[in-house]
Amino acid sequence: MQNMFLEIIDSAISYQYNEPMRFFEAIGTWLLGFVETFLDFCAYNLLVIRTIFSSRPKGHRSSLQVLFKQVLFTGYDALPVVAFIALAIGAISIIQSLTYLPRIGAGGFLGEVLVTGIIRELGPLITAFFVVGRSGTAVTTEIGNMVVHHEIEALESMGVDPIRYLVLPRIFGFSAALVSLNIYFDVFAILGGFLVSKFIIVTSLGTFMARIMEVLLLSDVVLSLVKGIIFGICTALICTFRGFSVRGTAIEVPQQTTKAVLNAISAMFLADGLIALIYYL
Amino acid sequence: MDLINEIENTIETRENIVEIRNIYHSFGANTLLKKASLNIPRGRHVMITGLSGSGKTTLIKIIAGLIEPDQGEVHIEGVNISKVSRSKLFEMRKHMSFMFQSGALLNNLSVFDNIALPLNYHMNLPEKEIEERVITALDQFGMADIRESMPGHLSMAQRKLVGVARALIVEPSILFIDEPIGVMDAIIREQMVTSLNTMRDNPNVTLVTVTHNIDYIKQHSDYIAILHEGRIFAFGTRDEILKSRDPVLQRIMAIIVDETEMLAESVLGLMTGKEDAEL
Repeated sequence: MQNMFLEIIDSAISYQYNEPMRFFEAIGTWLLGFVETFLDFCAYNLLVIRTIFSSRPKGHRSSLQVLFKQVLFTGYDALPVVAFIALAIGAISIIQSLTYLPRIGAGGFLGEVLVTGIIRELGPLITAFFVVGRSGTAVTTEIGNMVVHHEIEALESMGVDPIRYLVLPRIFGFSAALVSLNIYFDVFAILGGFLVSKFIIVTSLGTFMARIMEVLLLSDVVLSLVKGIIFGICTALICTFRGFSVRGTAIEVPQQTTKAVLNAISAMFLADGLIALIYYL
Repeated sequence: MDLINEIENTIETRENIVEIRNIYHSFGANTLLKKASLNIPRGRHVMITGLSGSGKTTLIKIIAGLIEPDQGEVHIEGVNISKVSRSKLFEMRKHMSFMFQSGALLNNLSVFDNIALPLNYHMNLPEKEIEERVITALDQFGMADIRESMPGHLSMAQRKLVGVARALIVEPSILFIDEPIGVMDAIIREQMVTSLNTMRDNPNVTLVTVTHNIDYIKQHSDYIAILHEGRIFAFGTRDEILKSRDPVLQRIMAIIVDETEMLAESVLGLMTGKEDAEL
Protein backbone atom coordinates (compact mmCIF):
# COMPACT_ATOMS: atom_id res chain seq x y z
CA MET A 1 0.00 0.00 0.00
CA GLN A 2 2.85 2.32 0.92
CA ASN A 3 4.55 1.98 -2.45
CA MET A 4 1.23 2.53 -4.19
CA PHE A 5 0.94 5.92 -2.49
CA LEU A 6 4.53 6.68 -3.41
CA GLU A 7 3.69 5.86 -7.02
CA ILE A 8 0.79 8.32 -6.95
CA ILE A 9 2.89 11.07 -5.39
CA ASP A 10 5.63 10.34 -7.92
CA SER A 11 3.17 10.60 -10.76
CA ALA A 12 1.77 13.81 -9.32
CA ILE A 13 5.21 15.43 -9.08
CA SER A 14 6.10 14.39 -12.62
CA TYR A 15 2.93 15.56 -14.23
CA GLN A 16 1.56 18.51 -12.30
CA TYR A 17 3.83 21.06 -13.96
CA ASN A 18 3.25 19.69 -17.46
CA GLU A 19 -0.35 18.85 -17.95
CA PRO A 20 -2.88 18.80 -15.15
CA MET A 21 -4.95 16.24 -17.00
CA ARG A 22 -2.09 13.75 -17.03
CA PHE A 23 -2.10 13.78 -13.23
CA PHE A 24 -5.63 12.41 -13.28
CA GLU A 25 -4.62 10.03 -16.03
CA ALA A 26 -1.88 8.67 -13.77
CA ILE A 27 -4.34 8.24 -10.90
CA GLY A 28 -6.79 6.53 -13.24
CA THR A 29 -4.10 4.18 -14.55
CA TRP A 30 -3.02 3.29 -11.03
CA LEU A 31 -6.62 2.76 -9.93
CA LEU A 32 -7.37 0.49 -12.87
CA GLY A 33 -4.20 -1.49 -12.18
CA PHE A 34 -5.14 -1.81 -8.52
CA VAL A 35 -8.67 -2.99 -9.33
CA GLU A 36 -7.33 -5.46 -11.90
CA THR A 37 -4.81 -6.92 -9.43
CA PHE A 38 -7.46 -7.09 -6.70
CA LEU A 39 -9.88 -8.93 -9.00
CA ASP A 40 -7.09 -11.30 -10.08
CA PHE A 41 -6.35 -11.97 -6.43
CA CYS A 42 -10.03 -12.68 -5.71
CA ALA A 43 -10.16 -15.10 -8.67
CA TYR A 44 -6.97 -16.74 -7.40
CA ASN A 45 -8.50 -17.22 -3.95
CA LEU A 46 -11.60 -18.80 -5.49
CA LEU A 47 -9.38 -21.14 -7.47
CA VAL A 48 -7.57 -22.14 -4.29
CA ILE A 49 -10.87 -22.76 -2.48
CA ARG A 50 -12.16 -24.82 -5.40
CA THR A 51 -8.95 -26.85 -5.42
CA ILE A 52 -9.30 -27.57 -1.69
CA PHE A 53 -12.73 -29.10 -2.30
CA SER A 54 -11.94 -30.84 -5.60
CA SER A 55 -11.04 -34.52 -5.73
CA ARG A 56 -7.55 -35.36 -4.59
CA PRO A 57 -5.06 -37.21 -6.79
CA LYS A 58 -4.36 -40.80 -5.73
CA GLY A 59 -0.89 -40.21 -4.37
CA HIS A 60 -0.36 -37.15 -2.23
CA ARG A 61 3.09 -38.02 -0.95
CA SER A 62 4.64 -35.23 -3.03
CA SER A 63 2.37 -32.54 -1.50
CA LEU A 64 3.08 -33.89 2.00
CA GLN A 65 6.80 -33.55 1.31
CA VAL A 66 6.29 -29.87 0.38
CA LEU A 67 4.16 -29.34 3.52
CA PHE A 68 6.77 -30.96 5.73
CA LYS A 69 9.58 -28.89 4.22
CA GLN A 70 7.53 -25.70 4.62
CA VAL A 71 6.78 -26.32 8.31
CA LEU A 72 10.42 -27.19 8.87
CA PHE A 73 11.69 -24.02 7.17
CA THR A 74 9.03 -21.61 8.39
CA GLY A 75 8.56 -22.98 11.88
CA TYR A 76 11.41 -25.10 13.17
CA ASP A 77 14.33 -23.25 11.51
CA ALA A 78 12.96 -19.92 12.73
CA LEU A 79 12.87 -20.93 16.41
CA PRO A 80 16.24 -19.48 17.54
CA VAL A 81 15.62 -16.06 16.00
CA VAL A 82 12.01 -15.93 17.21
CA ALA A 83 13.19 -16.88 20.71
CA PHE A 84 15.75 -14.08 20.65
CA ILE A 85 13.22 -11.50 19.39
CA ALA A 86 10.61 -12.64 21.93
CA LEU A 87 13.06 -12.45 24.84
CA ALA A 88 14.05 -8.94 23.76
CA ILE A 89 10.46 -7.74 23.27
CA GLY A 90 9.34 -9.21 26.61
CA ALA A 91 12.26 -7.60 28.39
CA ILE A 92 11.86 -4.22 26.68
CA SER A 93 8.11 -4.14 27.38
CA ILE A 94 8.67 -4.76 31.09
CA ILE A 95 11.51 -2.21 31.31
CA GLN A 96 9.35 0.45 29.67
CA SER A 97 6.33 -0.50 31.76
CA LEU A 98 8.33 -0.43 34.99
CA THR A 99 9.61 3.01 34.04
CA TYR A 100 6.36 4.67 33.02
CA LEU A 101 3.42 2.78 34.58
CA PRO A 102 4.24 3.74 38.23
CA ARG A 103 4.34 7.43 37.20
CA ILE A 104 0.67 7.28 36.31
CA GLY A 105 -0.19 5.08 39.24
CA ALA A 106 -0.56 1.93 37.17
CA GLY A 107 2.43 0.00 38.47
CA GLY A 108 0.30 -3.05 39.18
CA PHE A 109 -0.63 -3.57 35.54
CA LEU A 110 2.52 -5.35 34.44
CA GLY A 111 0.64 -8.59 33.84
CA GLU A 112 -1.94 -6.84 31.70
CA VAL A 113 0.84 -5.25 29.61
CA LEU A 114 2.35 -8.63 28.89
CA VAL A 115 -0.97 -10.37 28.22
CA THR A 116 -2.67 -7.63 26.19
CA GLY A 117 0.40 -6.18 24.56
CA ILE A 118 2.35 -9.28 23.78
CA ILE A 119 0.19 -12.41 23.79
CA ARG A 120 -2.84 -10.79 22.22
CA GLU A 121 -1.33 -8.16 19.90
CA LEU A 122 2.43 -8.04 19.43
CA GLY A 123 3.12 -11.78 19.44
CA PRO A 124 0.96 -12.70 16.43
CA LEU A 125 1.96 -9.56 14.50
CA ILE A 126 5.71 -9.82 15.08
CA THR A 127 5.87 -13.53 14.28
CA ALA A 128 3.79 -12.88 11.16
CA PHE A 129 6.11 -10.05 10.03
CA PHE A 130 9.06 -12.30 10.67
CA VAL A 131 7.50 -15.12 8.64
CA VAL A 132 6.60 -12.74 5.79
CA GLY A 133 10.16 -11.41 5.67
CA ARG A 134 11.83 -14.76 5.92
CA SER A 135 9.55 -17.41 4.40
CA GLY A 136 7.05 -15.33 2.43
CA THR A 137 9.80 -13.75 0.34
CA ALA A 138 11.38 -17.17 -0.16
CA VAL A 139 8.08 -18.56 -1.45
CA THR A 140 7.48 -15.65 -3.86
CA THR A 141 11.03 -15.90 -5.17
CA GLU A 142 10.82 -19.66 -5.52
CA ILE A 143 7.53 -19.63 -7.42
CA GLY A 144 8.60 -16.62 -9.52
CA ASN A 145 11.77 -18.42 -10.55
CA MET A 146 9.76 -21.55 -11.28
CA VAL A 147 7.63 -19.51 -13.70
CA VAL A 148 10.74 -18.06 -15.36
CA HIS A 149 12.36 -21.49 -15.77
CA HIS A 150 9.16 -23.11 -17.09
CA GLU A 151 8.91 -25.35 -14.03
CA ILE A 152 5.25 -24.43 -13.52
CA GLU A 153 4.55 -25.42 -17.12
CA ALA A 154 6.44 -28.65 -16.47
CA LEU A 155 4.21 -29.39 -13.45
CA GLU A 156 1.09 -28.70 -15.50
CA SER A 157 2.34 -30.87 -18.34
CA MET A 158 2.69 -33.79 -15.90
CA GLY A 159 -0.86 -33.25 -14.69
CA VAL A 160 0.41 -31.90 -11.36
CA ASP A 161 -1.85 -29.07 -10.26
CA PRO A 162 0.47 -26.23 -9.10
CA ILE A 163 -2.20 -24.98 -6.68
CA ARG A 164 -2.48 -28.37 -5.01
CA TYR A 165 1.24 -29.09 -5.14
CA LEU A 166 2.67 -25.66 -4.28
CA VAL A 167 -0.03 -23.49 -2.70
CA LEU A 168 -2.10 -25.75 -0.42
CA PRO A 169 0.95 -27.12 1.45
CA ARG A 170 2.07 -23.50 1.94
CA ILE A 171 -1.30 -22.45 3.37
CA PHE A 172 -1.33 -25.31 5.87
CA GLY A 173 2.41 -25.02 6.49
CA PHE A 174 2.37 -21.28 7.17
CA SER A 175 -0.68 -21.54 9.43
CA ALA A 176 0.73 -24.45 11.42
CA ALA A 177 4.12 -22.75 11.69
CA LEU A 178 2.63 -19.41 12.77
CA VAL A 179 0.42 -20.99 15.44
CA SER A 180 3.44 -22.86 16.82
CA LEU A 181 5.69 -19.80 16.59
CA ASN A 182 3.05 -17.73 18.41
CA ILE A 183 3.04 -20.11 21.36
CA TYR A 184 6.81 -20.19 21.32
CA PHE A 185 7.00 -16.40 21.07
CA ASP A 186 4.60 -15.95 24.02
CA VAL A 187 6.58 -18.33 26.21
CA PHE A 188 9.88 -16.58 25.50
CA ALA A 189 8.41 -13.09 25.78
CA ILE A 190 7.03 -13.96 29.22
CA LEU A 191 10.43 -15.43 30.11
CA GLY A 192 12.13 -12.19 28.95
CA GLY A 193 9.69 -10.15 31.01
CA PHE A 194 10.27 -12.34 34.04
CA LEU A 195 14.09 -12.11 33.80
CA VAL A 196 13.93 -8.31 33.75
CA SER A 197 11.42 -8.06 36.57
CA LYS A 198 13.49 -10.53 38.61
CA PHE A 199 16.46 -8.18 38.46
CA ILE A 200 14.60 -4.89 38.80
CA ILE A 201 11.80 -5.56 41.23
CA VAL A 202 13.14 -8.86 42.57
CA THR A 203 10.06 -10.95 41.95
CA SER A 204 9.88 -14.73 42.09
CA LEU A 205 8.81 -16.88 39.15
CA GLY A 206 5.80 -18.09 41.14
CA THR A 207 4.55 -14.57 41.87
CA PHE A 208 5.22 -13.45 38.32
CA MET A 209 3.40 -16.40 36.75
CA ALA A 210 0.53 -16.12 39.21
CA ARG A 211 0.01 -12.52 38.13
CA ILE A 212 0.15 -13.49 34.45
CA MET A 213 -2.30 -16.37 34.95
CA GLU A 214 -4.60 -14.05 36.88
CA VAL A 215 -5.08 -11.76 33.90
CA LEU A 216 -4.65 -14.32 31.11
CA LEU A 217 -7.97 -15.52 29.74
CA LEU A 218 -8.58 -18.52 27.57
CA SER A 219 -9.93 -16.13 24.95
CA ASP A 220 -6.53 -14.38 24.80
CA VAL A 221 -4.81 -17.63 23.94
CA VAL A 222 -7.51 -18.61 21.43
CA LEU A 223 -7.36 -15.16 19.83
CA SER A 224 -3.60 -15.35 19.52
CA LEU A 225 -3.82 -18.76 17.83
CA VAL A 226 -6.68 -17.71 15.55
CA LYS A 227 -4.60 -14.73 14.47
CA GLY A 228 -1.74 -17.11 13.70
CA ILE A 229 -4.02 -19.17 11.43
CA ILE A 230 -5.47 -16.11 9.66
CA PHE A 231 -2.09 -14.44 9.20
CA GLY A 232 -0.67 -17.73 7.91
CA ILE A 233 -3.43 -18.04 5.31
CA CYS A 234 -3.01 -14.37 4.26
CA THR A 235 0.77 -14.68 3.95
CA ALA A 236 0.62 -17.90 1.94
CA LEU A 237 -2.08 -16.63 -0.42
CA ILE A 238 -0.45 -13.26 -1.07
CA CYS A 239 3.10 -14.54 -1.44
CA THR A 240 2.15 -17.40 -3.77
CA PHE A 241 -0.12 -15.08 -5.79
CA ARG A 242 2.75 -12.63 -6.26
CA GLY A 243 5.03 -15.51 -7.31
CA PHE A 244 2.55 -16.63 -9.96
CA SER A 245 2.21 -13.00 -11.11
CA VAL A 246 5.69 -13.20 -12.64
CA ARG A 247 5.10 -13.38 -16.38
CA GLY A 248 8.39 -14.74 -17.61
CA THR A 249 11.38 -12.48 -17.01
CA ALA A 250 13.80 -12.78 -14.11
CA ILE A 251 13.66 -9.03 -13.41
CA GLU A 252 10.03 -9.37 -12.28
CA VAL A 253 10.95 -11.73 -9.44
CA PRO A 254 12.41 -9.14 -7.03
CA GLN A 255 9.66 -6.67 -8.01
CA GLN A 256 6.94 -9.15 -7.14
CA THR A 257 8.79 -10.13 -3.95
CA THR A 258 8.77 -6.51 -2.76
CA LYS A 259 5.08 -6.23 -3.58
CA ALA A 260 4.41 -9.50 -1.73
CA VAL A 261 6.00 -8.13 1.46
CA LEU A 262 4.15 -4.82 1.30
CA ASN A 263 0.82 -6.46 0.45
CA ALA A 264 1.19 -9.12 3.13
CA ILE A 265 2.08 -6.61 5.86
CA SER A 266 -0.82 -4.35 4.84
CA ALA A 267 -3.17 -7.34 4.84
CA MET A 268 -1.91 -8.32 8.28
CA PHE A 269 -2.68 -4.90 9.76
CA LEU A 270 -6.08 -4.90 8.09
CA ALA A 271 -6.89 -8.37 9.40
CA ASP A 272 -5.62 -7.47 12.87
CA GLY A 273 -7.80 -4.34 12.90
CA LEU A 274 -10.86 -6.32 11.82
CA ILE A 275 -10.25 -8.99 14.44
CA ALA A 276 -9.85 -6.32 17.12
CA LEU A 277 -13.10 -4.70 16.01
CA ILE A 278 -14.96 -8.01 16.15
CA TYR A 279 -13.39 -8.94 19.49
CA TYR A 280 -13.97 -5.67 21.33
CA LEU A 281 -17.30 -4.56 19.88
CA MET B 1 0.17 -57.78 -51.02
CA ASP B 2 -3.51 -57.34 -50.21
CA LEU B 3 -2.79 -57.86 -46.56
CA ILE B 4 -0.10 -55.19 -46.63
CA ASN B 5 -2.48 -52.78 -48.36
CA GLU B 6 -5.16 -53.56 -45.81
CA ILE B 7 -2.80 -52.88 -42.92
CA GLU B 8 -1.66 -49.66 -44.59
CA ASN B 9 -5.26 -48.58 -45.13
CA THR B 10 -6.17 -49.38 -41.55
CA ILE B 11 -3.30 -47.29 -40.33
CA GLU B 12 -4.08 -44.44 -42.69
CA THR B 13 -7.74 -44.35 -41.67
CA ARG B 14 -7.06 -44.41 -37.94
CA GLU B 15 -8.88 -41.77 -35.97
CA ASN B 16 -6.93 -38.65 -35.10
CA ILE B 17 -5.84 -38.47 -31.50
CA VAL B 18 -5.39 -34.69 -31.64
CA GLU B 19 -7.24 -32.18 -33.79
CA ILE B 20 -6.55 -28.48 -33.75
CA ARG B 21 -8.90 -26.12 -35.51
CA ASN B 22 -8.35 -22.53 -36.59
CA ILE B 23 -5.90 -21.52 -33.88
CA TYR B 24 -5.03 -17.86 -33.54
CA HIS B 25 -2.47 -16.65 -31.05
CA SER B 26 -0.60 -13.39 -30.52
CA PHE B 27 2.10 -12.12 -28.22
CA GLY B 28 1.39 -8.41 -27.93
CA ALA B 29 1.25 -6.98 -31.44
CA ASN B 30 3.00 -10.03 -32.90
CA THR B 31 0.48 -12.51 -34.30
CA LEU B 32 2.26 -15.86 -34.36
CA LEU B 33 -0.52 -18.23 -35.34
CA LYS B 34 -3.25 -17.39 -37.85
CA LYS B 35 -5.87 -20.03 -38.46
CA ALA B 36 -3.54 -22.98 -37.82
CA SER B 37 -5.28 -26.35 -38.20
CA LEU B 38 -3.79 -29.83 -37.94
CA ASN B 39 -4.91 -33.42 -37.36
CA ILE B 40 -2.49 -35.77 -35.64
CA PRO B 41 -3.00 -39.47 -36.39
CA ARG B 42 -2.92 -41.90 -33.50
CA GLY B 43 0.21 -43.95 -32.95
CA ARG B 44 2.39 -41.99 -35.37
CA HIS B 45 5.34 -39.64 -35.04
CA VAL B 46 4.35 -36.21 -36.33
CA MET B 47 7.08 -33.63 -36.62
CA ILE B 48 6.24 -29.96 -36.83
CA THR B 49 8.92 -27.81 -38.38
CA GLY B 50 9.27 -24.32 -39.73
CA LEU B 51 11.58 -21.36 -39.85
CA SER B 52 13.02 -19.83 -36.70
CA GLY B 53 10.43 -17.78 -34.86
CA SER B 54 7.53 -19.30 -36.80
CA GLY B 55 5.74 -20.26 -33.58
CA LYS B 56 6.53 -23.99 -33.40
CA THR B 57 7.01 -24.06 -29.63
CA THR B 58 3.91 -21.94 -29.08
CA LEU B 59 1.89 -24.31 -31.27
CA ILE B 60 3.02 -27.47 -29.46
CA LYS B 61 2.31 -25.83 -26.09
CA ILE B 62 -1.17 -24.89 -27.30
CA ILE B 63 -1.74 -28.47 -28.47
CA ALA B 64 -0.61 -29.77 -25.07
CA GLY B 65 -2.95 -27.31 -23.34
CA LEU B 66 -0.14 -25.36 -21.68
CA ILE B 67 -1.04 -22.13 -23.47
CA GLU B 68 -4.60 -21.07 -24.09
CA PRO B 69 -5.02 -19.85 -27.67
CA ASP B 70 -6.69 -16.51 -28.40
CA GLN B 71 -9.11 -18.33 -30.69
CA GLY B 72 -9.65 -21.84 -31.95
CA GLU B 73 -10.10 -25.31 -30.55
CA VAL B 74 -7.85 -28.18 -29.54
CA HIS B 75 -9.44 -31.61 -29.30
CA ILE B 76 -7.57 -34.43 -27.63
CA GLU B 77 -9.28 -37.83 -27.86
CA GLY B 78 -12.32 -35.93 -29.06
CA VAL B 79 -12.44 -33.69 -26.00
CA ASN B 80 -12.25 -29.93 -26.50
CA ILE B 81 -9.64 -29.08 -23.88
CA SER B 82 -10.65 -25.43 -23.58
CA LYS B 83 -14.13 -26.53 -22.48
CA VAL B 84 -13.16 -29.07 -19.82
CA SER B 85 -12.74 -28.22 -16.15
CA ARG B 86 -9.30 -27.61 -14.72
CA SER B 87 -9.33 -30.84 -12.73
CA LYS B 88 -10.43 -32.85 -15.79
CA LEU B 89 -7.59 -31.32 -17.79
CA PHE B 90 -5.08 -32.36 -15.11
CA GLU B 91 -6.66 -35.82 -15.14
CA MET B 92 -6.21 -36.01 -18.94
CA ARG B 93 -2.59 -34.92 -18.65
CA LYS B 94 -1.78 -38.03 -16.60
CA HIS B 95 -1.64 -39.82 -19.94
CA MET B 96 0.45 -37.21 -21.71
CA SER B 97 4.00 -36.03 -21.27
CA PHE B 98 5.87 -32.99 -22.46
CA MET B 99 9.61 -32.84 -23.00
CA PHE B 100 10.81 -29.28 -22.77
CA GLN B 101 13.67 -27.83 -24.76
CA SER B 102 15.52 -26.99 -21.55
CA GLY B 103 14.46 -30.06 -19.59
CA ALA B 104 12.43 -27.81 -17.22
CA LEU B 105 13.44 -29.83 -14.17
CA LEU B 106 12.31 -28.69 -10.74
CA ASN B 107 15.43 -27.05 -9.37
CA ASN B 108 14.65 -27.74 -5.72
CA LEU B 109 14.30 -31.49 -6.26
CA SER B 110 17.05 -34.03 -6.88
CA VAL B 111 17.21 -35.98 -10.15
CA PHE B 112 15.54 -38.92 -8.39
CA ASP B 113 12.71 -36.81 -6.97
CA ASN B 114 12.17 -35.08 -10.31
CA ILE B 115 11.61 -38.39 -12.06
CA ALA B 116 9.53 -39.79 -9.20
CA LEU B 117 7.28 -36.72 -8.97
CA PRO B 118 4.54 -37.76 -11.43
CA LEU B 119 4.41 -41.22 -9.84
CA ASN B 120 4.27 -39.79 -6.32
CA TYR B 121 1.52 -37.39 -7.30
CA HIS B 122 -0.74 -39.56 -9.42
CA MET B 123 -0.29 -43.08 -8.15
CA ASN B 124 -0.64 -44.57 -4.75
CA LEU B 125 2.30 -46.91 -5.26
CA PRO B 126 4.47 -48.27 -2.47
CA GLU B 127 7.68 -46.29 -2.05
CA LYS B 128 9.73 -49.38 -2.93
CA GLU B 129 8.01 -49.76 -6.29
CA ILE B 130 8.49 -46.11 -7.15
CA GLU B 131 12.16 -46.39 -6.27
CA GLU B 132 12.55 -49.45 -8.50
CA ARG B 133 10.87 -47.75 -11.43
CA VAL B 134 12.97 -44.61 -11.10
CA ILE B 135 16.20 -46.60 -10.79
CA THR B 136 15.28 -48.59 -13.92
CA ALA B 137 14.69 -45.33 -15.80
CA LEU B 138 17.99 -43.89 -14.55
CA ASP B 139 19.86 -47.06 -15.56
CA GLN B 140 18.29 -46.96 -19.01
CA PHE B 141 19.90 -43.57 -19.59
CA GLY B 142 23.14 -44.38 -17.79
CA MET B 143 22.42 -41.82 -15.09
CA ALA B 144 22.47 -43.99 -11.97
CA ASP B 145 25.43 -42.06 -10.57
CA ILE B 146 23.64 -38.71 -10.65
CA ARG B 147 20.43 -39.77 -8.92
CA GLU B 148 21.03 -37.53 -5.90
CA SER B 149 22.41 -34.59 -7.92
CA MET B 150 20.50 -31.34 -8.07
CA PRO B 151 19.54 -30.06 -11.55
CA GLY B 152 21.75 -27.00 -11.13
CA HIS B 153 24.81 -29.25 -11.17
CA LEU B 154 23.93 -31.00 -14.45
CA SER B 155 24.92 -30.16 -18.01
CA MET B 156 22.17 -29.10 -20.42
CA ALA B 157 22.29 -32.50 -22.15
CA GLN B 158 21.97 -34.33 -18.82
CA ARG B 159 19.03 -32.12 -17.86
CA LYS B 160 17.34 -33.02 -21.12
CA LEU B 161 17.91 -36.72 -20.51
CA VAL B 162 16.43 -36.46 -17.02
CA GLY B 163 13.51 -34.64 -18.65
CA VAL B 164 13.08 -37.58 -21.03
CA ALA B 165 13.21 -40.08 -18.18
CA ARG B 166 10.57 -38.06 -16.29
CA ALA B 167 8.37 -37.85 -19.37
CA LEU B 168 8.59 -41.57 -20.13
CA ILE B 169 8.16 -42.95 -16.62
CA VAL B 170 4.39 -42.47 -16.68
CA GLU B 171 4.16 -44.46 -19.95
CA PRO B 172 2.26 -41.71 -21.78
CA SER B 173 -0.06 -42.26 -24.72
CA ILE B 174 0.88 -38.88 -26.19
CA LEU B 175 4.38 -37.48 -25.94
CA PHE B 176 5.02 -33.87 -26.90
CA ILE B 177 8.67 -33.11 -27.58
CA ASP B 178 10.16 -29.67 -28.03
CA GLU B 179 13.51 -29.80 -29.88
CA PRO B 180 14.83 -33.18 -28.70
CA ILE B 181 18.18 -32.88 -30.49
CA GLY B 182 19.94 -29.76 -29.37
CA VAL B 183 23.33 -29.03 -27.92
CA MET B 184 24.52 -32.50 -26.92
CA ASP B 185 27.31 -34.90 -27.72
CA ALA B 186 26.91 -37.91 -30.00
CA ILE B 187 26.54 -40.48 -27.19
CA ILE B 188 23.79 -38.63 -25.39
CA ARG B 189 22.08 -37.89 -28.72
CA GLU B 190 22.15 -41.59 -29.53
CA GLN B 191 20.59 -42.45 -26.14
CA MET B 192 17.90 -39.86 -26.71
CA VAL B 193 17.08 -41.04 -30.25
CA THR B 194 17.03 -44.70 -29.17
CA SER B 195 14.58 -43.98 -26.34
CA LEU B 196 12.31 -41.95 -28.56
CA ASN B 197 12.41 -44.62 -31.27
CA THR B 198 11.37 -47.22 -28.70
CA MET B 199 8.37 -45.02 -28.00
CA ARG B 200 7.79 -44.59 -31.73
CA ASP B 201 7.70 -48.37 -32.20
CA ASN B 202 4.88 -48.63 -29.69
CA PRO B 203 1.61 -48.33 -31.65
CA ASN B 204 -0.19 -47.02 -28.56
CA VAL B 205 2.02 -43.97 -28.32
CA THR B 206 1.68 -40.84 -30.44
CA LEU B 207 4.67 -38.56 -30.68
CA VAL B 208 4.40 -34.91 -31.59
CA THR B 209 7.79 -33.30 -32.06
CA VAL B 210 8.79 -29.76 -32.81
CA THR B 211 12.22 -29.65 -34.36
CA HIS B 212 14.45 -27.69 -36.57
CA ASN B 213 16.84 -30.54 -37.26
CA ILE B 214 16.28 -31.66 -40.83
CA ASP B 215 18.33 -34.87 -40.48
CA TYR B 216 16.25 -35.96 -37.51
CA ILE B 217 13.07 -35.23 -39.47
CA LYS B 218 14.27 -37.23 -42.48
CA GLN B 219 15.15 -40.26 -40.40
CA HIS B 220 12.51 -40.49 -37.72
CA SER B 221 9.24 -38.85 -38.77
CA ASP B 222 6.07 -40.52 -40.05
CA TYR B 223 4.34 -37.27 -40.87
CA ILE B 224 5.67 -33.75 -41.34
CA ALA B 225 3.80 -30.51 -40.76
CA ILE B 226 5.32 -27.28 -42.04
CA LEU B 227 4.39 -24.20 -40.04
CA HIS B 228 4.73 -21.09 -42.14
CA GLU B 229 3.30 -17.58 -41.74
CA GLY B 230 1.20 -18.63 -38.79
CA ARG B 231 -0.55 -21.62 -40.31
CA ILE B 232 0.15 -25.21 -41.26
CA PHE B 233 1.39 -24.62 -44.78
CA ALA B 234 1.82 -28.29 -45.63
CA PHE B 235 1.07 -31.59 -43.94
CA GLY B 236 1.72 -35.08 -45.23
CA THR B 237 3.73 -38.22 -44.92
CA ARG B 238 7.49 -37.88 -44.81
CA ASP B 239 7.88 -38.78 -48.49
CA GLU B 240 5.08 -36.51 -49.59
CA ILE B 241 6.70 -33.51 -47.97
CA LEU B 242 10.35 -34.27 -48.66
CA LYS B 243 9.73 -35.17 -52.31
CA SER B 244 7.25 -32.40 -52.97
CA ARG B 245 7.85 -30.27 -56.07
CA ASP B 246 5.95 -27.29 -54.65
CA PRO B 247 8.44 -24.39 -55.12
CA VAL B 248 7.40 -22.56 -51.93
CA LEU B 249 7.69 -25.73 -49.87
CA GLN B 250 11.07 -26.51 -51.41
CA ARG B 251 12.26 -23.00 -50.58
CA ILE B 252 11.07 -23.29 -46.97
CA MET B 253 12.80 -26.66 -46.63
CA ALA B 254 15.99 -25.20 -48.11
CA ILE B 255 15.97 -22.37 -45.54
CA ILE B 256 15.37 -24.88 -42.72
CA VAL B 257 18.36 -26.90 -44.00
CA ASP B 258 20.49 -23.73 -44.04
CA GLU B 259 19.38 -22.82 -40.52
CA THR B 260 20.18 -26.37 -39.31
CA GLU B 261 23.68 -26.12 -40.79
CA MET B 262 24.25 -22.68 -39.31
CA LEU B 263 23.08 -23.92 -35.91
CA ALA B 264 25.35 -26.97 -36.17
CA GLU B 265 28.31 -24.73 -37.05
CA SER B 266 27.65 -22.35 -34.17
CA VAL B 267 27.30 -25.30 -31.75
CA LEU B 268 30.54 -26.76 -33.09
CA GLY B 269 32.17 -23.34 -32.68
CA LEU B 270 30.90 -23.12 -29.12
CA MET B 271 32.16 -26.61 -28.28
CA THR B 272 35.58 -25.93 -29.90
CA GLY B 273 35.81 -22.65 -28.02
CA LYS B 274 34.97 -24.44 -24.80
CA GLU B 275 37.64 -27.06 -25.45
CA ASP B 276 40.21 -24.34 -26.19
CA ALA B 277 39.28 -22.58 -22.98
CA GLU B 278 39.63 -25.81 -21.03
CA LEU B 279 43.02 -26.49 -22.59
